Amino acid sequence: MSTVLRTDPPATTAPATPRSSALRRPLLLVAGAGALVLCAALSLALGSRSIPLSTVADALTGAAHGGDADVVTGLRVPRTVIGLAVGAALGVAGAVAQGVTRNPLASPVTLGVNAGASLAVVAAIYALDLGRPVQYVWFAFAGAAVAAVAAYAMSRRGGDLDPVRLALGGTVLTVVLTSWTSALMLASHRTLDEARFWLAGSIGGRQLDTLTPVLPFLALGLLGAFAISPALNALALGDEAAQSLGVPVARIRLAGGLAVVLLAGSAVAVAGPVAFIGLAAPHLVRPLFGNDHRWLLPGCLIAGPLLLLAADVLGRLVVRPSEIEVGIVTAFLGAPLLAVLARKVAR
Amino acid sequence: MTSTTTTVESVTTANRLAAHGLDLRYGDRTIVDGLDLELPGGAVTAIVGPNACGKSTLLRGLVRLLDPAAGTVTLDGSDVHRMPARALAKRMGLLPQQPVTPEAITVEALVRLGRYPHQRMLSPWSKTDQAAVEEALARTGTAELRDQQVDRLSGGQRQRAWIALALAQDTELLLLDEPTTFLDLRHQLDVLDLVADLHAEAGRTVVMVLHDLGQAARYADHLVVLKDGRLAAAGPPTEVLTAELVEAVFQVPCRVVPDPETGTPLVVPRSRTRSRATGR
Amino acid sequence: MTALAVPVGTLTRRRARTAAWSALAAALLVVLTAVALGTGQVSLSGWDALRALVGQGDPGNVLVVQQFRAPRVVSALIAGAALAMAGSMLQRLFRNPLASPDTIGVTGGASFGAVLMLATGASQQLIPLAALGGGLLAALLLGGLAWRSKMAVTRLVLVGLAVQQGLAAAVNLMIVRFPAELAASAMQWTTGSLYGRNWTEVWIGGTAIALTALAVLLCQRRVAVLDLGDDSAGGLGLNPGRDRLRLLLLGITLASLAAALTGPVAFVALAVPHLVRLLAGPPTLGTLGLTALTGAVLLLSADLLVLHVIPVHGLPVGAVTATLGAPWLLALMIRQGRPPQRST
Repeated sequence: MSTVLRTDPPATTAPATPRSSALRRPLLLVAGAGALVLCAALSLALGSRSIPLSTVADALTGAAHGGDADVVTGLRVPRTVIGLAVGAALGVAGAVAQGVTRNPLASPVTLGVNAGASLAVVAAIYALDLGRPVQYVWFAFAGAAVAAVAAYAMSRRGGDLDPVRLALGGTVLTVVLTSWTSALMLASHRTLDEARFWLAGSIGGRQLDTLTPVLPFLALGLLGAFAISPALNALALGDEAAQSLGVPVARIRLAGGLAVVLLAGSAVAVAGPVAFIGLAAPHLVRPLFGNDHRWLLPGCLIAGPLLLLAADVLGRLVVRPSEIEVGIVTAFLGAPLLAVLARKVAR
Repeated sequence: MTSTTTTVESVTTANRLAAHGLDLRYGDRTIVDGLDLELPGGAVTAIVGPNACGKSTLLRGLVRLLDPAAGTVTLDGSDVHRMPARALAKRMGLLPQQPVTPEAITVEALVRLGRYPHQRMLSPWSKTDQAAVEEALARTGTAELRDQQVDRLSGGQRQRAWIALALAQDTELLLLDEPTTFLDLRHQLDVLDLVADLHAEAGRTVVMVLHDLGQAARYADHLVVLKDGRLAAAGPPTEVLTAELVEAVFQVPCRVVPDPETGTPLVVPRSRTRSRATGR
Repeated sequence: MTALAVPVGTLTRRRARTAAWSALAAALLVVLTAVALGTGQVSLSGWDALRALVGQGDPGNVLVVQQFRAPRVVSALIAGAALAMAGSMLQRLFRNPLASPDTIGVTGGASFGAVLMLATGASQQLIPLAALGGGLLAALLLGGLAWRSKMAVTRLVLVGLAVQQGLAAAVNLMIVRFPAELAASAMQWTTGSLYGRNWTEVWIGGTAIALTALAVLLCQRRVAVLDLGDDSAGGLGLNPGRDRLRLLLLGITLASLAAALTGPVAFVALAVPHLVRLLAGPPTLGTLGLTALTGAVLLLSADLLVLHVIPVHGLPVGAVTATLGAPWLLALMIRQGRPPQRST
């Protein structure tokens, strides 16, 4: 038997060969990180008022004061930090969601997280007369968590989560929650007027106090996601194969689900529903890094914020001195990107 | 089952598939490279070769699931890629390597889909259609399974149901891509006997990709051996299948002896235990 | 499911089940239609309402029923049926249980067209036309992006999703930028509504939908062959890539026509095919009829609730279809144990 296997090299090595040298992926990561730093710098410098990078550096070190420096430290630093955190959370959440459900269409959006957060926030605006993003944080997080728990509860079967049921249940939930959100907004014009800006998804107009409450959840989510990344590789082979490799499939799926909720819940709580990054980041990273989740996740950790910050900077530039919400820009940019990618990878 | 001996006299001039300078590619990768090939009509042809030699790709090119990057495929002299799709599907049936079984479909419903090329858009289900389906079910021994769900059948039964679909298509040529993969020995032989019967009784021209050289030699009138997308040899198994060829193509030292049952060539690999020992 | 391991007569049993459910749905449809036509400021019995529909009885009643109530009821029926059929078709062709007009661009396109028309301040009459145009724009984008490359199904789903996201973003941008008043009516339109339909619209829309549905029916064999996978379909004389895309465009057209009539009502296209699959088995020509009937029943009952039962003004009908359909679908999913299994 062993001789047969040994004389059959093409069959066993063929799938592994296309990816080139071992250095490629670390180098790509470094290049990505470099691009991210550049993007962050641009995010600090550009906006309705452009500020030279030297002034930005002075402001950061505390050497400069006055108008421009205050803009940097008071507005753009929080905005950039929030963008980094939210982008990272969304990118990684997307990769884990797709890995856990084995569905390339899955994203935090599919699992009902954004819809749950949106409904909770809109209901809060409607009932409690709220008006500032920092007040929405806990409502959004709670709404996201409740929606995700509901989606999981629907997709449990025999103690395990059924990926198809999960995706389907999440989509059903999203449709229902979104329609209720619309109903609430149509019932009260004040709510609509207030909520539509939050619903577009934005990282502007927030201070770091919007981010700090969710930071522990975000960190925990990232930790969990990276901890299960090797197991996600096994999961990709199918439940039975994963089981036979000694991977506790049900527990991994639960852990993955929790990580997605923590990450996507934090993101939506801070920035509102930013579509597309969770979906696009893994699809962008996969052609570069392959399907190994141990590389995919770090890739998404960089690609997520890169996409988000780039989109945010662009949104500030195109209609200066006004700006377009980052959620709208990501959707606008991400859509053609996804279409091109889909074409390129097609045989 | 009746006698499975095949006669060379049945080789006719009709239903001759041929490739001329055929290049087949996936993206930038050339799989089949400038292949010239003529397959005899009215015979059973087996395409063999090592893994990744382009066997299945060639078959896909012959039924035009793949467009050639260069060269042509002809059926009795006319370019396959210029024929109307339906007209071709009436002459040539295909059993793919990994067909997709629609969820919860019954055997009969599956086999009925084989009549698709013969139906016009508005034509109702005809007696000819039903007769073809019945014959296909009877020939493959799936008549009593007709009401069962295909996705609940055993591997051997499922493969017969899929062959029945190709039979219901009622074509003179039948192309099968590794029809015996995933089957146990008995079911492998069942499938191959069925193919031999189709040829002997119904005069079908059969082209199949096979893995097992002994089976290929036993069941085929004509053998096509591929290596790295090029033709290594072609002809009757007794002439083609020599120890030198097998060693050259598969890199397996072997002896070729007459099959004690049928007299066709049988490839017996040489023992490797010694070479393994010295290799350490 | 394993409890039902008596395989003999599967096909017959499924047909009987389909027929029984279809009969039930048809009966429900007639009752609901009568109730819908009879309910309002002038109350009529179901029988009188149906008589008034065909011009019999009190002329006042005939006027109310024929001119005011019937167009709305008929649009609900037509649009519900069309959405459900389109959803079924899209899910089969995409081999994905999540495919629906909401995920492949029709909703985004129709909303885009309508909201754009609102923004220009043109006549309300033009909005359905703009919505149809928007839906077809989505189809055009999908077709244009996918036509030349022989595209695998998963990739096609992604292209659809991209189209949806892009168009939805455009709608979102307009809603955020609009003055509050206009934003509200845009919002109203994008959630779907049956207000203010007239016979002209119903006739034009109905005819177009009927013709498209007929084409869908005629193509069912082709859809069934595509279910066998691209290789088998190719062996049976189809061009899998092209034919799949053609049929998809047909499904999208059907959904766009429905969206032109009622706006992109949520959930019908997504849920009804799953419901029918759970009730009557995998999709065939026979279950397509049941799908259409179920869609019509769902949309009409939702509209009845919006109009006469729920005391909230301006409630979008999509909110009700979703709220009505979701528990039913979920209950069936839980009871069935195994969901519609169609992984890509």
